[in-house]
Amino acid sequence: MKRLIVPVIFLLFIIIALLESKDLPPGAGLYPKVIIAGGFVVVTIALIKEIKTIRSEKKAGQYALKRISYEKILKDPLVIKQLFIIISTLIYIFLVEKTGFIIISTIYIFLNFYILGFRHKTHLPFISIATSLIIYLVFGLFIKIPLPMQFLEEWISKLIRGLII
Amino acid sequence: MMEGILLGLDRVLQPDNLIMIPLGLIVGTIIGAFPGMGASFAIIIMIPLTYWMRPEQALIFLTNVGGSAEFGGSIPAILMHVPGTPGSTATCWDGYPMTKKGEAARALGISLFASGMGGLFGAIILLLLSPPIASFALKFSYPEMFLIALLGITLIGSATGKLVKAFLAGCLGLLVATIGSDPISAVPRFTFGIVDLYDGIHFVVALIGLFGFSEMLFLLKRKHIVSSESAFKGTFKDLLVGVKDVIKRPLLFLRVSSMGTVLGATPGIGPAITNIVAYNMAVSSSKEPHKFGTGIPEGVLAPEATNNATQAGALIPAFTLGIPGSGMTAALLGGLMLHGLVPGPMLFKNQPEVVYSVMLAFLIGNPLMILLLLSIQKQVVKIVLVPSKILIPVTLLLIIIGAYGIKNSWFDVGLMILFGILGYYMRTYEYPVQAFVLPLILGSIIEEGFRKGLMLGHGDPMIFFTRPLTIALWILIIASIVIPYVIRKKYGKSESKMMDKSGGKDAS
Repeated sequence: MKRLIVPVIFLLFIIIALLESKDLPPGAGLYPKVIIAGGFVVVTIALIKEIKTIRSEKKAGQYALKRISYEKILKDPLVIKQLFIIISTLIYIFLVEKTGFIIISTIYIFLNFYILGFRHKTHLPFISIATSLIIYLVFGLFIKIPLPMQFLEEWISKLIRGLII
Repeated sequence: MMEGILLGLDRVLQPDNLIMIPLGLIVGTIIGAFPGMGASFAIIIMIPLTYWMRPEQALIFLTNVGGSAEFGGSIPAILMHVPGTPGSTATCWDGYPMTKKGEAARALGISLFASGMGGLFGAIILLLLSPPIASFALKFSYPEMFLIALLGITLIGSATGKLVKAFLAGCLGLLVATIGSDPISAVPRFTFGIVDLYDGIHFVVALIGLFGFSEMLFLLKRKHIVSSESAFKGTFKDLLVGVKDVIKRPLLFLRVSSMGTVLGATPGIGPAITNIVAYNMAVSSSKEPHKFGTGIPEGVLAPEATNNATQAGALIPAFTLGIPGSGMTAALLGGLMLHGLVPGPMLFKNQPEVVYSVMLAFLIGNPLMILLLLSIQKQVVKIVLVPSKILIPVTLLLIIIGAYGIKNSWFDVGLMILFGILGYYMRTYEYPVQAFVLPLILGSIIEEGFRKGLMLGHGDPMIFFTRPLTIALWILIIASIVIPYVIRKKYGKSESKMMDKSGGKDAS
């Protein structure tokens, strides 16, 4: 059944687009509607092909129809790590403006190091702090990407400016 | 053309541009040496560093990052039987046995020299062929541009042997590209009332997710990227023995480099495929085919000369038609457009100094890579010993900044994560990511081609079928679908088996 994940995602996307395109005026709406029509044809063919493959695998005995065990999936260390990366990145996005770049980046890197298995007592905090500081200096101060600033970033910027002057 | 070359040479020889070549080479080799991080990934994570650069400076840097990353991929392939990039899959088959025989340095010497010379060969062809193709492409009007993009998708589908999946990915890419304000009437489309979507989804955000974030999710499968058993032993003299091995085999080198450049110029056929084709070519033309797989120089030379020549070949449709045929060229076009340049034939007309300087920098970069890396090979090799548990979090932070820096928007970072998850599933279930990326990059050009083409025909869609050039393009589109199908039917499934051997990864 996993084979159907991507075509089903695509089908959902096309259905949403179809519903949204209803109110579009003819000029702006024609092109997306042509794509949606084409998309429906292709996604139908893709679904039929995948179902045929599943059936032929079933006949050949290569395919075991198992119930998807979410409990088992969530216990898989790889899935846990992948979910951790995704969720921690989302939390990072929500908090970065509030905490400033350096603090949240240090925590983000620290936690990811820890979850991925890098747990050296002294190296872990040191590398976490050093990485976020270096990245802030390179991208925030040198390349001038406006990274979120709170007291810590402002203090560092002042310090660097003071050193240069 | 000569005028363009002179303009480009003038630009590339400026010290601040010239320095970008060795910088790009070193960075690219280091990133490519990490298994899983291919040329496209190397370019993607380096894009934020180029925000402050001038367009030609950024492109000179990024092109050399991509080119040398392909060589970097051979380092883990040779030392620990783990291909660093999909293009170095076949390198493992004889490179690693050479390491086991104590000839790691010799194998790395072969790989370095063959890569550099293969890239140089491809770069010369790129420089010679691109201007005439671009001037011919100037004859293309809106309907032709629309069909060129369609041809790109069918070629990618045919090359990967997954036409339906490529079309599906292409349709989704086209649909995602329509998100935002309509380019002609400014009516918002598929924005769901979200203000951040009014400007559309920047394709570099999608690229970072599809190639960068998804790669991180894949890398988690590896506990440690490398093992310490791979410690590099060898001297500078051993590296030179490898160089001599390539010089002694000029015919094999020319054969595989030409094949790599020609196939590379075909959208969808990346180094992931050509390195295996080259290996098979070397086996079939050898007097001692049974020795392949035991650790012989030909087995390293063929894939390594080919993968760099392929990347050079892939730059031909990217620069001249704006069609990103491989992951690397898609990422490079991302960098190009981020600096306000529009890929395609007009680039040669409007900014010849930029496009020629990039081509020349690639040409200079390849032989320079040989000289530079011969001297620092030992240090570069040590880089691959960094474990993934350290590498992934640091790279993730770079990816986040890369996505944020495009429009200084955290919403874009969220979108990048979505694209990363989508890319992960697409790659897991073998949907060609390039087919999704191509319409994303060319989104406005394709839509403009379609709508203005229709306007040109006064609303009659027959305009897409009746002009001489559109007829020729339809013939090519049909041929790109039918010919590979017939070949597959005739010669069984050996071709697809060959591609499967490459690891099922997209041809970056």
